[in-house]
Amino acid sequence: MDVLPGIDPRAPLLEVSDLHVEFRTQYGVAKAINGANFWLSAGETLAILGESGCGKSVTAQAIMGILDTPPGYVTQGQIKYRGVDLLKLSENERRKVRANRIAMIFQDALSALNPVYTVGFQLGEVFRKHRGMSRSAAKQRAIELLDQVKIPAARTRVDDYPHQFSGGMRQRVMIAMALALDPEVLIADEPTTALDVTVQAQIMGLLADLQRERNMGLILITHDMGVVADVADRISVMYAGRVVEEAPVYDIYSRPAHPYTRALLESIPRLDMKGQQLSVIRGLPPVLTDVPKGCAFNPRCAYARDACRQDPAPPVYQVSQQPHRTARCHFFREVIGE
Amino acid sequence: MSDLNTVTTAEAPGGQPNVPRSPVKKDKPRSLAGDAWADLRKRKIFWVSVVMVAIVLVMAAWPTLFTTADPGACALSNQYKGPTGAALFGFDYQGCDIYAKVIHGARNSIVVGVLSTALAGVIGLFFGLAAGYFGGWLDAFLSRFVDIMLGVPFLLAGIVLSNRLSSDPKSDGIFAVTLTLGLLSWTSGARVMRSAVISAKNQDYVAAARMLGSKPSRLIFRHIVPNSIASYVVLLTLLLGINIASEATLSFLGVGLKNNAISWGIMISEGTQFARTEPWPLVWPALFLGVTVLAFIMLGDAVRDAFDPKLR
Amino acid sequence: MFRYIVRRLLQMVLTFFGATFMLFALVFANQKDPIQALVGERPVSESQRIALTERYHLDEGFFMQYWYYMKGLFTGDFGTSMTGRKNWEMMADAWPVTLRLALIAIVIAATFSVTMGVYSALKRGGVFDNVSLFITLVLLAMPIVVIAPLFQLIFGIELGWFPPTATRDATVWQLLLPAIVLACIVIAPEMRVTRTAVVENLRADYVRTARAKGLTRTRVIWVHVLRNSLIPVVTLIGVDLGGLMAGAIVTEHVFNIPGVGFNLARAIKTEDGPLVVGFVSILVILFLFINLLVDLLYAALDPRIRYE
Ligand SMILES: Nc1ncnc2c1ncn2[C@@H]1O[C@H](COP(=O)(O)OP(=O)(O)OP(=O)(O)O)[C@@H](O)[C@H]1O
Ligand code: SF4
Ligand SMILES: [Mg+2]
Repeated sequence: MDVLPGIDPRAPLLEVSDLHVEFRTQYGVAKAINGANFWLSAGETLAILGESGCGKSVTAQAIMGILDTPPGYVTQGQIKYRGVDLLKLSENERRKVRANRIAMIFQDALSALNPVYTVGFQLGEVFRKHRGMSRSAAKQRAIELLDQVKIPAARTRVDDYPHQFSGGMRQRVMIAMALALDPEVLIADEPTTALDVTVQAQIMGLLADLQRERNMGLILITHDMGVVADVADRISVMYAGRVVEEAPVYDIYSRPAHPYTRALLESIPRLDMKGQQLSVIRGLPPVLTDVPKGCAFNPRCAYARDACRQDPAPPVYQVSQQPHRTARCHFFREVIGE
Repeated sequence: MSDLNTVTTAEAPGGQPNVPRSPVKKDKPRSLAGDAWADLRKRKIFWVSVVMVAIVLVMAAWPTLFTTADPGACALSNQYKGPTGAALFGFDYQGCDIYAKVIHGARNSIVVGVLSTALAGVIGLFFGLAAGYFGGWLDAFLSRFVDIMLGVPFLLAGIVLSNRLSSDPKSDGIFAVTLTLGLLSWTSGARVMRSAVISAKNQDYVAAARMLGSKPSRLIFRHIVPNSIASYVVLLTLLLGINIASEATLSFLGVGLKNNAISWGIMISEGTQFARTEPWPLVWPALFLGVTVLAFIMLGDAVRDAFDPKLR
Repeated sequence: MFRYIVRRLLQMVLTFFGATFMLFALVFANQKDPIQALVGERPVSESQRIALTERYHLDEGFFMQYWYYMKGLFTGDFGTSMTGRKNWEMMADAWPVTLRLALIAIVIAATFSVTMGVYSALKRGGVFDNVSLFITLVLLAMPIVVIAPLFQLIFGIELGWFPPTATRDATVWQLLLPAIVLACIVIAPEMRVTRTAVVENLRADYVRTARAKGLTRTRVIWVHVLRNSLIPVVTLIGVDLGGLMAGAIVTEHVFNIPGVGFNLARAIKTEDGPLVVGFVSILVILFLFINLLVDLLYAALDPRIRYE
């Protein structure tokens, strides 16, 4: 594997700080990410939660370096992988980080796979382009990978096209593709949303197994509170392009520190109900071209008062050291204390 | 023929920004035609093509506005003479005034083009309506018939048909070419009309009219035709340009206009033979033909873009 | 797939009989003097009359004539030209020339329309995009009878970059300019379709996946996006085929290329009825077959399409 200059094996696996992303569209500049912070260590699962449109996918794309540019631009912040700021790398170095170090799987595997190439070709491509393997060797590796993600009859299925697979099998193919080069970080963007419940559980189980085997850091973007409770170690809650609360799973469920997290939790009737989508919270998420002054959540917040409507936005408050918890709410003590 | 034209493309990802659709524009709801017109008015290409079409039409209707010379008065003594006075473009191989001939050529082009397109329009309208409205075996029969017609490349059919129709050696071929083009070019119109009728048939107001006991003829002419006529006219505008080009092609190959009829196609054919000695007798009719066809196609294109709601 | 091909072949047979019947009827039915119609305006001797009557079964009914004609076609007898040569022989001479012309034209058209279409799509809204959109509109509208003589005049005669006419052996170099003319017919629509398809496909999810795999931008575009975008482009080839044939007739006529179109145009000029019918029937068959081929190619390009 090619060596990244300046890599420090003791530095945190992944550290995102003060990330800003905006989309410059014809309707105006949409500030999709307004200072996101989180980190990830090896072997750990971080869940990113939040309403639709809060910027979860954009964050993931920014980490991968696959934002649609234009219109999307990273305007500020750092994305450090083992101490190396990915945003400072050349496009070519950046490209080599993808798949080799950080990989990603997408929500809808049917549209995320190229319809006109066989699964084997698309898997093998990773080996051919990153490892310089021959076509036949790459195909051999593709078969092994399909085996690893438990696709039956991998040897024959390797020549099938994506549309010939079932939804769950397709997502397995996506996983195989992402894990081809043994990345240290895997970002899964709603990997199970498009699947039905029993298949969801299988896929999540597979992901968890593979993660354990490889000691990978996993960022799991999801709507599914049930899944989060099962597999995540820590949770980052996003709202309007910011991480508003970050905490270990247990703590966040028992004592949320941010009113938004609280509302999220209250909006699900029972925690153990799997497959539940987050219910809507009173009011609407902000329009990104016109985010409210101060705390972006203030028009919908039951705790809001004058301080919340003034700039600057609430800083990242340290809620507790052990366990490490943060929240971006001026009144987190009040929220957590109730 | 099998319907393979439905191209499956991957769905676009839902990446529309979470922002107001447009900078709040509150105007009265307008009709599609009104919208299209407002859109058209703003297009330069539309106005350019309108002006060009108008000039060609005037040229065809009143050629003497542009030239007083007789295009038939040729004198070999004038062969390849350069431009003089009224003969702006000089003289050709036979000593004819190129300018006068080119101007007068517009008439035959337009006459053949308009009449053949009108004929094709009527046939296409009739067959398209019938196939779409009645469906069943009539539709199946007409569709197969269209398939067969499309099985012969257009120009090949044109060559044979035009040749057959103008068996009289003394005719100028105008009638034959008009009929040929009319009889061969209605298929696309019929297809468009047919699918327009089929989709209109399923619309609520037509179904409602039918339930209220409207007669088929009334339904067709009061509801279905007015609704699809816009796209049909656009198609015919494009077809007009194509038919003008086809007339020139047939004439160029010697199976179109004949004898003393003036045609840009014939002029190009003659000009090509002697292009080595003198290019202008080729260049002028080619330019006039090219610009005329371009004008109609541009016009059709602009109107279609304006009317196509998918593109707005 | 097999069943689809069989069904298409059956359809083709129907179309073929319908089309040749119409063609045959056009040329031969209800003629006052069928022999004169066959030979055009030239005088015919009595012995010629007898020979022609025999050859075309003119003393029998029209349907019988068609029957004999079809029988001839299927036994490899494509008729005899008024010059006395077999149509088939003339075809065999002319065919390689036209094929060469068509191949060069297709290579030129494919290269240009795909590269420029992709470039336009990548730089959409830019200067190149707008200029090429306008040029394609002009090209779309220009009839081949305008383009062919003008190109010959400008690039062949005035500038002298290419030979303005071809000789009997029609070398590649001689065919280059006519091939460019022929390519012009398809470049405009193909380029437009390529552009639209690439723009659409660039937004597709699989592009994001390909980038996430760490592929280079070049590979993402030329391997992943292009392959998907080619599907509609190929369909268009089938649609344009009739135009290409017409184009070949005019172009060969203008550039004096001894191909199929040239022979056909000359047969029309010399009013050689049997030659015209013979050539046209063969072209109709060809036209139908290429259309079938395009459909199959389409299936090969898009694995999601299953012909039943
Ligand atoms: N290509 C793009 N162009 C313009 N705006 C975009 C683009 N991609 C994303 N956005 C905007 O960025 C914001 C964040 O989108 P993102 O896809 O990250 O939401 P999300 O949290 O993943 O939502 P979901 O749960 O629905 O996937 C959205 O408002 C979206 O409209
Ligand atoms: S800062 Fe104010 S508005 Fe924002 S969450 Fe806290 S209490 Fe609510
Ligand atoms: Mg998302």
